[in-house]
Amino acid sequence: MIEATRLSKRHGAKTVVDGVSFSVRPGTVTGFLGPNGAGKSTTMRMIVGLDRPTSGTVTVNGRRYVDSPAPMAEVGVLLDAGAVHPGRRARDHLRVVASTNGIGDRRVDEVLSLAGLESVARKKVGTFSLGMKQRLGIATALLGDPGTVVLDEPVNGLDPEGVIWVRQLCRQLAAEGRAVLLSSHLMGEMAQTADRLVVLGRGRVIADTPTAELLARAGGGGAVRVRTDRPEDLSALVAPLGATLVPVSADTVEVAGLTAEQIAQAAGPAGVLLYELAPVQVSLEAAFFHLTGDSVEYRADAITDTDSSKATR
Amino acid sequence: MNEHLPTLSSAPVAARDTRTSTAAHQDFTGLMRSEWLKVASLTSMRWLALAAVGAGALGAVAFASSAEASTTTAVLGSATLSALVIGLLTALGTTSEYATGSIRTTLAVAPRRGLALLAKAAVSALLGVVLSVLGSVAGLAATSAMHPDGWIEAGTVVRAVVAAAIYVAVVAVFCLLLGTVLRGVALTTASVIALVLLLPGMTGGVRVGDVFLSDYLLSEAGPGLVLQTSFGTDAWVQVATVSVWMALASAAAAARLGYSDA
Repeated sequence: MIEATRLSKRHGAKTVVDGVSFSVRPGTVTGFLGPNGAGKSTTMRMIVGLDRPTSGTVTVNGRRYVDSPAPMAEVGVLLDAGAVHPGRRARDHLRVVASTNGIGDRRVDEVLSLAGLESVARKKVGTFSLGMKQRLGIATALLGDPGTVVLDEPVNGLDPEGVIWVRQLCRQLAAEGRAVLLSSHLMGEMAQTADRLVVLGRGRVIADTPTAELLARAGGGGAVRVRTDRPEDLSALVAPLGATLVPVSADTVEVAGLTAEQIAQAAGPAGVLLYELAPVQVSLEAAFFHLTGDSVEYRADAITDTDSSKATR
Repeated sequence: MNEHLPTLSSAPVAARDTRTSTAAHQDFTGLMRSEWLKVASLTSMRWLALAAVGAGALGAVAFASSAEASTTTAVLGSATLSALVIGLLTALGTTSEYATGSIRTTLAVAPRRGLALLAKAAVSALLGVVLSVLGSVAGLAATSAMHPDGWIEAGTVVRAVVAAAIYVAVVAVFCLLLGTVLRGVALTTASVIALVLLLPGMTGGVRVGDVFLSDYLLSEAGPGLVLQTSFGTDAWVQVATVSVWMALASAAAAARLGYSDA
């Protein structure tokens, strides 16, 4: 259980995290979403005491992480898969980390096999691909059998198989009653993994809702996509009931303001055949951009003609 | 499902095997063990440790070959060279953690930073003692061949070897602290070489009033202790000088590590 209360971090004049409050509950996967520079990583670093909050507090199971007698059993953390010494063998890296918390070699071998790294356990970390480093980082996070797991961009650099593995692992960790906080830029992946989303923009929480609710909220008011060979007749039938229709293609319209049942009940007696009747699913990408539209920190401006003409002059 | 996908069994995959594991907790012994493993698991560190013993032996032989040589000066030669190599070892050990970013992994799993630094210092000191004694003894063994009439006098030798071991341990910890403050590999390495090897020679002739400036250098006061035969005023001044240097370095390192974001 992570609880952040009005957490802020300033670097000089720049406010990186600005009064962020949220909680990560046991048994759930909480997704951390936000554009680059939104403050996700800084917030995660403050959870485990790597960065000192300028103001506010963040606790794990009611106390500061730093005060835990067994830090690795409290929080398992992966912040930067590259934060390993390249000259050390994978198994030795895990032993170095494990021994700080009195964790034995047997557990080291357990997490190596859990992450699928047995065959490279005696290879130097410097020879690892980013994906393998991510697996090693996840193995490191799990060493202490932690009640809370914090993973910053764990699928970055992983192959599709690895992405699915991380998704299943996160679901399983939550099913075992652990609290999981996960950040990712792969929003499709996040939609399938996270129960709850905390969206950050410019250091502030701009949404903190169940994933399904965020999708529904940005989903254009629950429109229904309808395919029929007589769209004009359908329009004449449902428009008087308060529906608005947006044609998508020759035989497809999106109907807003009515449920799928209401549309079918209107069309059926008139003999208008409906070949498809489906709620419009908005992707998490769309929901995300809808929310963060004006809180993007780094934006590449479209290059216009005036820019290029200036450049040539 | 695709056969190649790693499948998760219904057993709690991430959980520890509770039949064999004891409850995890953080204590000083564990932190020291981790720091020891850091040194032992890197090829470069193992070579440097070997080089420290070799340099210690070489230093003893070099100092023993002069006309007015004694076992004490041989041990002094051993201490000077092994201190340099061990200083480089501990400085590189800590600065490479900053260079590779692995310091963040260290501090994330050992969030009480003062305790983590203390564990590093303890392991550095122990390494200093062990490698210095090995180097001195190897060097003395080699020099006894040069003095077939048996120049080793047990009491003197033991006292000198112990003093040398303490000096080398002090330098090992000092260079660790220096690396913690400076963080950069190149800057720290250059500083260690300057401090241990170059500064005593460079300031050798500089007088302030009626004292030599170099007497108050860590790398002059420390080896000076090796030469003391009785514990008089000079020895106390040297102990005080070493203590002041160590106190300053400890305060700076503790502040740097404790008050900055990793």
